[in-house]
Amino acid sequence: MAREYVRSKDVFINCPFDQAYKPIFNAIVFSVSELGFRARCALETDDGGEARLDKIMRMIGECKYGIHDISATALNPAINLPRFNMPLELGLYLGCKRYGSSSQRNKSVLILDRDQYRYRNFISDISGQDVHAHGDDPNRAITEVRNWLASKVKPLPGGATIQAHYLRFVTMLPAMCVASELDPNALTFGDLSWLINKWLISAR
Amino acid sequence: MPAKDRWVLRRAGVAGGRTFATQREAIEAGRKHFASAAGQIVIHNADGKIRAAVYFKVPKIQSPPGRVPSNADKIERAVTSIALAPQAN
Repeated sequence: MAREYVRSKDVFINCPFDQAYKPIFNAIVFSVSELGFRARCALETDDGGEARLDKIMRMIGECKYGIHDISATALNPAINLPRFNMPLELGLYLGCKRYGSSSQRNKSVLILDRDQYRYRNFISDISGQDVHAHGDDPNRAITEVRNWLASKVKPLPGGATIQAHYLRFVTMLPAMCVASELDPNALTFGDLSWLINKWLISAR
Repeated sequence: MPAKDRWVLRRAGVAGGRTFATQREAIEAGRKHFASAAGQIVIHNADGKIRAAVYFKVPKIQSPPGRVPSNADKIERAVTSIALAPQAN
């Protein structure tokens, strides 16, 4: 069995990956990165040799922190069913935290939804977990991520500072994509991570 | 960062700055500036590529996950040229 270790700067992001959610996702990745952590998600590698669930479980095991957005509950009109991946991965994370080794038990989790108490209607078993609302607003998502991580590590920049930086980044993003020969509407997670990394080092 | 045969210390997105004969002098001036303030110094090579970053009371930026992509240099050149260019207020 591979030696297990938890990376204290790694944050697992479990969220929808569709276009409609992109503004929240990008804001969360930016916020995590500016706060001195490393954003990770299932999109980060494309290794055909590793089953998707294996990859996700490996990543969950490696990340001390986890952000889980359970706001995507809408039915897919084509099949009349919702997506269950986010609640599944939240369950894996909570299980890892509950049943894992001592280092796994030190994991910390931030659960996000559109509204703070909406989860009671569809995943009431997580009552007692602190669920935070982003209201589909990237700036609120930034503040929630910041306040959660600031309770673990200090000192950290304030939410308003990160929001202002994120606005500047988003404003420059189209030009940076053109100059990088990237399509701003089809950025991979790797492209986004590197654009954010270089921008934060150069311009914040 | 390099400026012809000298080195310049300036804020990202702001024109001008202070020029120095050596990179070491520019770095030292940057360190003095952040003795009491929060921020970071980004040190460039003579070719403009980022050599290092030094952080003062702000979190260190972690490298992205996974392997370095083949277009990492291109992204860095694009981002630094745009992010460092003087911005209109």
